[in-house]
Amino acid sequence: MTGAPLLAVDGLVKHFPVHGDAYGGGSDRVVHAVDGVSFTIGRGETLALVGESGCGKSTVARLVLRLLDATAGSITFDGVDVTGLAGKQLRDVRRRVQVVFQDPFSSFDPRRRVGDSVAEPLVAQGRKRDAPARVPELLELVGLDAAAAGRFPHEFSGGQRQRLAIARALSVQPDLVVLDEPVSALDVSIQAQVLTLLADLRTRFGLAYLFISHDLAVVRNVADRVAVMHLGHIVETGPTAAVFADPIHPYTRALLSAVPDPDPVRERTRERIVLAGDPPSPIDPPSGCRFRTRCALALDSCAASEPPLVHRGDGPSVGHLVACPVVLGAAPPPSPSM
Amino acid sequence: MTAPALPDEPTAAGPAAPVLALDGLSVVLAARGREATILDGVSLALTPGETVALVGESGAGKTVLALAVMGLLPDGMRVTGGRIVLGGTDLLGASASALRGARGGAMAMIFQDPQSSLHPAFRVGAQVAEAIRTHQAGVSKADASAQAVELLRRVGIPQADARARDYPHQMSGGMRQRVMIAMAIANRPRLLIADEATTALDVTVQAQVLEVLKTAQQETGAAMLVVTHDLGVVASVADRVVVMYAGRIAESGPVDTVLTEPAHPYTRGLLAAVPRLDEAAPVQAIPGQPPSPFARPSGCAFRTRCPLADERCEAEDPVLVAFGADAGHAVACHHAGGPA
Amino acid sequence: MTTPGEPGGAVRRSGVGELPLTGTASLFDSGVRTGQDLARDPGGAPPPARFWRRYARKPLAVIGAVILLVLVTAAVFAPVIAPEDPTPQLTAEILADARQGPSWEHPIGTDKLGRDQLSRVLYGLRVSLAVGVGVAVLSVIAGVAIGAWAGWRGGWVDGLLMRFTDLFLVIPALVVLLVVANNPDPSFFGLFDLPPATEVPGMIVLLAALGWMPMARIVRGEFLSLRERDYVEAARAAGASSRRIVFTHLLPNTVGPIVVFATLAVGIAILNESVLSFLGAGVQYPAVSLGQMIADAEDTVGTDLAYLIVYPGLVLFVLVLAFNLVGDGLRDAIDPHSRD
Repeated sequence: MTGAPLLAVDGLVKHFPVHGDAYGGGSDRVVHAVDGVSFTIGRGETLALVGESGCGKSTVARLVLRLLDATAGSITFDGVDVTGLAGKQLRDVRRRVQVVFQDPFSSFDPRRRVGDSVAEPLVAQGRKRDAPARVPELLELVGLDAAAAGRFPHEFSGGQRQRLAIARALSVQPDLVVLDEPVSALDVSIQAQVLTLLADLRTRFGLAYLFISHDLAVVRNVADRVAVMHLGHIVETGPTAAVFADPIHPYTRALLSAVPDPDPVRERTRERIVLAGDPPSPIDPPSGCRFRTRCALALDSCAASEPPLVHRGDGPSVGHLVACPVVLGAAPPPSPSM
Repeated sequence: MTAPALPDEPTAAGPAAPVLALDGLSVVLAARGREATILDGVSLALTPGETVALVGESGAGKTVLALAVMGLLPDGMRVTGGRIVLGGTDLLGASASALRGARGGAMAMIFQDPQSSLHPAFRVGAQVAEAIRTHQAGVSKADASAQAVELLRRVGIPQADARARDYPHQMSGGMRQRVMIAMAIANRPRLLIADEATTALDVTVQAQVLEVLKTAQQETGAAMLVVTHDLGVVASVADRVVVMYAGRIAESGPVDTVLTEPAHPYTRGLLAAVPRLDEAAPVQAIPGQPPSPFARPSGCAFRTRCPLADERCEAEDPVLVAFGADAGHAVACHHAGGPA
Repeated sequence: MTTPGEPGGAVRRSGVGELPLTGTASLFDSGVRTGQDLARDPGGAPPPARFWRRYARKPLAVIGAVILLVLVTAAVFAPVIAPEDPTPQLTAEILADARQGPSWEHPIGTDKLGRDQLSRVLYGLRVSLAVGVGVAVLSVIAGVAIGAWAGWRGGWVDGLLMRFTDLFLVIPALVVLLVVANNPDPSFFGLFDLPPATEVPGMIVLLAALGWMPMARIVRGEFLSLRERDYVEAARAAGASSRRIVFTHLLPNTVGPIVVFATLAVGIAILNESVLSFLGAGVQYPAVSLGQMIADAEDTVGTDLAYLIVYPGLVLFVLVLAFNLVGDGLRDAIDPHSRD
């Protein structure tokens, strides 16, 4: 990757108060949804954030979109720190960062014609006059009939609505599209259509994607680089091919081994790491490495401090970072305090 | 409640007597004065200990099939033809009380969403015990509670005696689904139906629950019908697979045959559309969308999306017929096994 | 995006029931409906097109609407329809007509002072409707403004506004109504410059001040849930202003509850005014209200003069009932979860 990245996220933290009430009182416990996440996305690049429910991946998406305000850390878009932007400056950045959400049924205002919804970013950006010409173009771009603009969301299937959501996102020619589980609610054959469409649009317009997903096979299919999240941390990141071919972190390995393979022969013979128990609560996460309570390799030292992301090596694994000193053979000395 | 009027052993001789046999089952949905065929002449048999996966996309009719077997079709849908035979008893002719007795007794179902399947105001142990006492006359409350804890232990809930006193909201999704499995196997059913039972779970939890499901089935010797859209899950648990499209069976046969040498263009399309972990090759989409049951194409319902379709597909309904060398492999396609 | 040869406005008007419930004009209103898919979206809100069709399916709601139309027409044209002045100078000639039964001259008789009862009922209806509609409009404006502000802003703004709302809710309304209505100093010790509650505008302000709280709570609740919807988040992410989001997404999707509350509020306000009038604290001469007439005739029950209480009572009853029927009909027609 050369030059400054399109998006650089550094030390992002988001804590949510638990049972916060209207008086601002109540409990002072917090959910550690995102706890020090850093990554970059280059122009035209697809980074996938992958992890299980509650790992904080969707919170990262909302932070990047500035739908939530970060507790700490910075988000730099094209060289500009957007963390504190407001008003017109924020609106200018928002033109360049668009979003597609998971649920094709709540993505559209049920009372508005889809043409108006697709045109919404244009109108919000003060370009209402472009809408009548642009919307039919956009609809055809995503493989729908231009006449669809006058219809209501309930007249479309899930896959068609996801196409509409993509058309809406592309209406203002963004540089980055945040895709939050964009195909998770779709049937396999429709999912493949939408993935193909996303790949086409990406090459056509040089789009960068932040692709949020729990589905490892989908991620393998779309991403240039992948970051595996576990309880608010990135535990492993690197080029998709490298991470999938040679997963290092015990959590990544367990995650990959849990995906059943549609090939029955391979399914019977593949290595399986079945994790014991449930993921720990993000309200009171384990100290040090947050995976240690379910990790077969955990040492006492894992509880002492949060393991940093460390380069794995050179050659094909350049950019492959892992947050597990045990596996990397550099376990910290036993903590004297324990 | 009386015990279900079902014999303990299949009356027909021979080990292969099916637990469940569907014969030409048809289900129709009536809405706004129009009728749509949701299931169209589906025939299927499950032998004891066998796991059959029912796959297909939304609207293919797989969940409706499961609900029809359980006698739980939603309002507006009704069976218009065929037979559903469970252990020798025709369920369509059975009385409402016999059907109620069979449900949760001889046959049990696990749904996708354990949150809404469990009563939020009762402890999970009590709910499992209730399932036992409903179907087994003469079991005391204390015995049922002890059995419930034992069942929860068998489905892999740690500290089962303590967790039995939890309310559903105190458990994770995976744990709740285990409770549902415990409840389903409580009365040693002969047929277990799992309807997208692991779809809502995280992949690591899904792996655990699939293991529990397989173990539970082996221990009870039940036949299992797994309804899923996930071909990975199919490969993981099933012996045989039935691929459905628009209310009909497109292809069925042993898992190894169907998933590695699919003969129906739809099965091939599905397999090509699934992203794989081990290769970065782009997925191949099936063009178009499944037809609305209110506007089903003539002839083969898949022809509007099929690369092999010709005039014959439009004129003539393909029939499900034996295909190839593998026993039990059947395909409903005029071009079965044609160029991929 | 209009149909060739037709101006957009004409197309909009030509489609029966095509009136959108939103206040925002569509850029893409072609008036053409195609490809209606059944059964696909049970959770979605009904588009305006289905609204009247759904409303018209409820006979009671239609009856309510017809009655309401008749009563409103009668009230609006009371000065034309009414045979006489409802509050004439009590001349000897008028007083001589007291306590007359129905006749051609006085279709439902005269009251104890010889005034034409039909004219008085018509003018009373006018006052009741004015109070009811006025209170509903004011309550809705106040309730929507406060509820929307609280629900959209959330946080401490929400906390503050909701405590303010709670404050009004715990006020014993009847006591306040009686005190204020009987207070010879309507400015409330110089604090407010309110019109006296013995006149219609003052009564409207008073009843609205005690009736807006449920609206605020309803709107706040709707806003809190709607603002989490993906389409609202998408609009925010696109850079849409708060004002735009509130007026194009949140308010239009809250129209259902608002309309239902408004119709019910009319009926409640009419009844409250009647109760106050009956207690002698309602609108006073020269205004006529139905409650006042009932109060004046309370000693006639069981006598030949009972018709003096029957007619105003009947009109009051039918009026409130009609509003409730219309409210129920609107709720069912707007509710996205009711059957189509």
